[in-house]
Amino acid sequence: MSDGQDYDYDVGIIGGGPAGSTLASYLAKAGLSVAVFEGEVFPREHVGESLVPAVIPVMHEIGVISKIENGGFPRKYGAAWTSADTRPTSTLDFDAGSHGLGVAEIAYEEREQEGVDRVYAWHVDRGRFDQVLLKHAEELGAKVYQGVRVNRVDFADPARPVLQARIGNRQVRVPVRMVADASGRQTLLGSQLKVKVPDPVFNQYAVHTWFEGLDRPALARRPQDADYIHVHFLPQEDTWVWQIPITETITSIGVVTQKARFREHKDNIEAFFWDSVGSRPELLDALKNAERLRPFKTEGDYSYGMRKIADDGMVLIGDAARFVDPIFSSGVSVAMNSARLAAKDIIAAHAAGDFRKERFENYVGTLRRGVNIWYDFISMYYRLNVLFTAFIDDPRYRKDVIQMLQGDVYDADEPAALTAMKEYVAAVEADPTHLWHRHLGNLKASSSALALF
Amino acid sequence: MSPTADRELLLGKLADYAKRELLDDKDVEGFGTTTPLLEWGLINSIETARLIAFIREEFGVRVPPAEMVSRNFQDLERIADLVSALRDGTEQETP
Repeated sequence: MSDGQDYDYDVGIIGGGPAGSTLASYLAKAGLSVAVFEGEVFPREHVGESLVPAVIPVMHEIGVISKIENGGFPRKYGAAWTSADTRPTSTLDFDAGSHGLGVAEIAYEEREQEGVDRVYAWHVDRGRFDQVLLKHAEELGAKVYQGVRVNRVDFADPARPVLQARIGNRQVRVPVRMVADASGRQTLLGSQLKVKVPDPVFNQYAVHTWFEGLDRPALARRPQDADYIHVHFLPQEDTWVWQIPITETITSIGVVTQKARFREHKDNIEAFFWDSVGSRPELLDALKNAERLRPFKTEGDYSYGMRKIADDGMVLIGDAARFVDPIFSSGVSVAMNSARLAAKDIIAAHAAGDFRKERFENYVGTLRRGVNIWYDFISMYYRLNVLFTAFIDDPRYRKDVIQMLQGDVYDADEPAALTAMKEYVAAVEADPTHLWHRHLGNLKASSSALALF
Repeated sequence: MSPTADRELLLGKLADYAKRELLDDKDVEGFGTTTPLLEWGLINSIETARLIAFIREEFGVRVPPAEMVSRNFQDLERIADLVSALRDGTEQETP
C-alpha cells in the first residue's frame, strides 16, 4: 500500500464461490488489487453440482480450463428426462421416447456454441470444484481470506465502502474502492440494503444427499446416457428428482417440490424423501440398493430477485443477485457469467478511476436479458410441462431448447422456441377445451416477476 | 383418387391407429368412427402427443397448438376433418 492511500484493495469480494473466485481471477489478471473474503474454510459442501457448457468460455478466459479438465470431474454430455407416463416397453411397438411426454434426451454436441470447444460440461463435487477456482484466483494474485465472514458493508462514504468482518473475536474494517457481493443465497447486500424481493411465484423446496453405488445405467432409457444429468418427473405436480453423477460410483440425488407439499410431511425430511421417490418404483428400487453417504440436506426460500444489482461502489453477482430454480442447472453458469460481465465494467471503471453506478450499466443490462430468458424458460416449464418435451421432440425447436440448456442466453436474443412456448401457453390458457388445458400447472408467472432490476 | 375414397383411406388409417394404440388391439363393441374418444377417456395427454406425432408422420401435416382442442378430437370423423383441412392448407400452420 502506498503512503496516503486510504483503501486496502481496489475491490473487496464477499464470498469465494464460483462467482467470487471468477471475478477475482478476471480482476487480478487485469492488474487490480482484489481480496476475497470467504466465510467458510474450503473445501465445503455445496448444492448445485451440474454445470452447463456456458461456463467453458469463462474458464478459458480466466485460464482455469485445464485444471478443471484434469480435475477428475465426470463429463456431462447431455441431459435426460424420464417420466412415470412412459408405458412399459413390452406393449410398445414404436419408440415412445421420441413421441411421449416427459421423456427426452439431448446431447450438447447437437448444437455448436460460440466459444465452446468441447461437447461436454462437467458434473462436479462443489467442495473440490470451488476450491480449484478459488486457488486459481489466488495464484493469479488475488488475496484470499478463508474463514473470514463479512457481516456488513459500511456505505457511509459511497466512494469508500468499508467491509466489516469478524476474525476470531476481533472486528476488522477493510476500506475498498468498490465491493462485489458474491455471498450466494446468503444475499448479504440484498438483505442489508433491503432490495431483496421473494419471488411471488416460485416457492420450491429441495431435499438432497449423495448415494454410493446407485445403478445409473438401470435408470437410463439408453445405457449410453447413464452419466447424463437425469431429471425424473414424479407423478405429483411441480415435483422432480435430480440425478447427478459425482464420481464413478457416487451420485447426487435431490427431490424438488413445492414447499407446501413438503410441509404436509410435517417437516420429516427422510419420510418426505422416500415417499416422493417411492412414486417411481424403479427409482425407489435403485435407491434402496444404494448406500446413502451424507445426511439429507434441505434448501428453501431460494427464489428471489433484487430491485437493484448495482449502485455506487457496488455490484451483486451470482446467486447474490438472483436465483430462480435449479431445474436447468443454471446456477454456476449464472455465477461465472455474471462475474465475467461485471469484470468488464469493473476493469473499465478502474481505468477511469470512477466506480459510480453508471459504470456498471452494461453489466446490469446484459444480466437482465439473460435472467429474463432463464426466468421465462423456467416459468414455461412449470406452467405447461408437456410443452417442454414436446418442443425437444420438434425438429423446429429442438436446437433452441438446447441453446437454453447450454446456458447460451447472455449474448443472444430471445430464442424463437421461447417465444413460441409463450404463444402456446397463451393458446392453452385461453381455451378450456384445449386438450392440454388441464395440464396447466398452478405456477403461473407474470412478466412483473421477471428481473426486477 | 376420388374424395370419397380418399376420406375412406384416411379414416381407415386413423381407425387402425386407434385400434392398435388406444384399444390395445382389443375388439371393443360399438367402437367406430363416431365413438366419442374424449368421453370414453381414450385420449389422455400422452395419447394426444402420440396421435399428433402419428398424424405428422403418416399424413405429413402438423397440428398447430390452437387446433389441439376437444372439438377437433371428439371422434375419428372430426380428426379426419382436421387432417383434411390441414392437408388442403386451409389451416394456417402456426407453432
